[in-house]
Amino acid sequence: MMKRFFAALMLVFLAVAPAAMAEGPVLMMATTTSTDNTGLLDYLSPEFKNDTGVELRWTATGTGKALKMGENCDVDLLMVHAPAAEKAFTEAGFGMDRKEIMFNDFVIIGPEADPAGIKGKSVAESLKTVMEKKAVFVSRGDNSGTHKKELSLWKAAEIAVPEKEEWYVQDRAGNAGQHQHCRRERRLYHDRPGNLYQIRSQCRRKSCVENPGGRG
Amino acid sequence: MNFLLDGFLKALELLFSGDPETWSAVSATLRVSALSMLASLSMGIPAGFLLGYKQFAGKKQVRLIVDTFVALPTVFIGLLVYAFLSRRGPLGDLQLLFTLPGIAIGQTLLALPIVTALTATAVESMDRDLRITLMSLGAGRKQLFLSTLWESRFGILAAGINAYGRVTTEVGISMMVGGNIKWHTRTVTTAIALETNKGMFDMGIALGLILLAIAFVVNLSLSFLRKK
Repeated sequence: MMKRFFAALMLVFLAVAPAAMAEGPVLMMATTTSTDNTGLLDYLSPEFKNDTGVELRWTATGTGKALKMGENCDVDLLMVHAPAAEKAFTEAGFGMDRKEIMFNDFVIIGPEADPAGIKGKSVAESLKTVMEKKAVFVSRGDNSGTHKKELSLWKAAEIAVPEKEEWYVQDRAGNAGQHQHCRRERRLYHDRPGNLYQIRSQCRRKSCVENPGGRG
Repeated sequence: MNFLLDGFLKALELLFSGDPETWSAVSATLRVSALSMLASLSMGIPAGFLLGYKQFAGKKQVRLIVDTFVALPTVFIGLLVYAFLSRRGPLGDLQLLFTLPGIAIGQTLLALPIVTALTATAVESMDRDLRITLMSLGAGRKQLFLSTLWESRFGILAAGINAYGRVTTEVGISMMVGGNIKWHTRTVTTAIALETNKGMFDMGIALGLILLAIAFVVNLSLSFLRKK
């Protein structure tokens, strides 16, 4: 019995041994989950290693936590998207050399058949049409950047946010990937397939792929 | 619901095709849990044994504290360990943040109270009858001590298995301290969290089944230590 205990213990030691491996220079980056989800970093990091010999490692979190990790010097590099917070971060002396490398576009997307007929119309007109036709509109409703943008668009179109209307669906799943699924699971979607409008943010670089969760 | 079946099939595919990303996460989970179990067992078993075996003033209070720590939330432990291991933290020079040993420190904090409390319970629950019998047979203090330790071995094994279950399934510590870094600190649980966030539910299910399979193999290999 005692022997067996020691044998088990030895196994544990063997399992731990490979934990200590030699490592080259590492560049540690904090970024957001959406950046990570695009797969861009998976593509770039081997190239970066080839060019510089430095291994790129990244942790994907929310922008707030990423900035905090930068403040605490836990990461060497940040790739985040919250311009105001980034400016405050560099102004407070936590970071240097802030560069804009990508930007988001906001688009209204809808079913291909375009039942409300918004194709070619301006943003304000489109929203007005969606409202008049009572086409189903899915809002993120989670205070995210996309949601804030949506609210500002209603405002710009001089329409009160139609929060209480039946055709206006708030979907508080937060994360962009999960959002797709949550929406998909709504009975509404099954009842009225291909009849949803929503505002989405889209990356303006080819390397940025859309989330594979599905399309609106 | 389709993703449940898809997940099951994917789990088999990932395991048998030798998918390097999956195996890297499995290996990280195994290594980090081995480290943390080693640390928590080597501290928790003696501590729990003394707590159950010895009589001392304030024993009840110590027990209460240990029992309370069993309920430590993993995210809280993660934050705590991060605060210490962060480069600005008191242990920042060790550079253990975003490493497996760093995660193991947090998991040790998670497992230690469990091992201690359950070991103490195992010792306590057999103490009374055993002590009287042994003493009536003329056992000395040393013999009494060793026999109690020996007789509580199954309870101690259960304590270890219980703690192992918590350690391999926690995600809060691994995420906060490890950072879910691909090829390095991505464990099976943080991979599940990532895939779920991406909306890849079938992949999440697949990885969950793989984690269960690991637990099964570990328990199977320990089963020879159990009571026949």
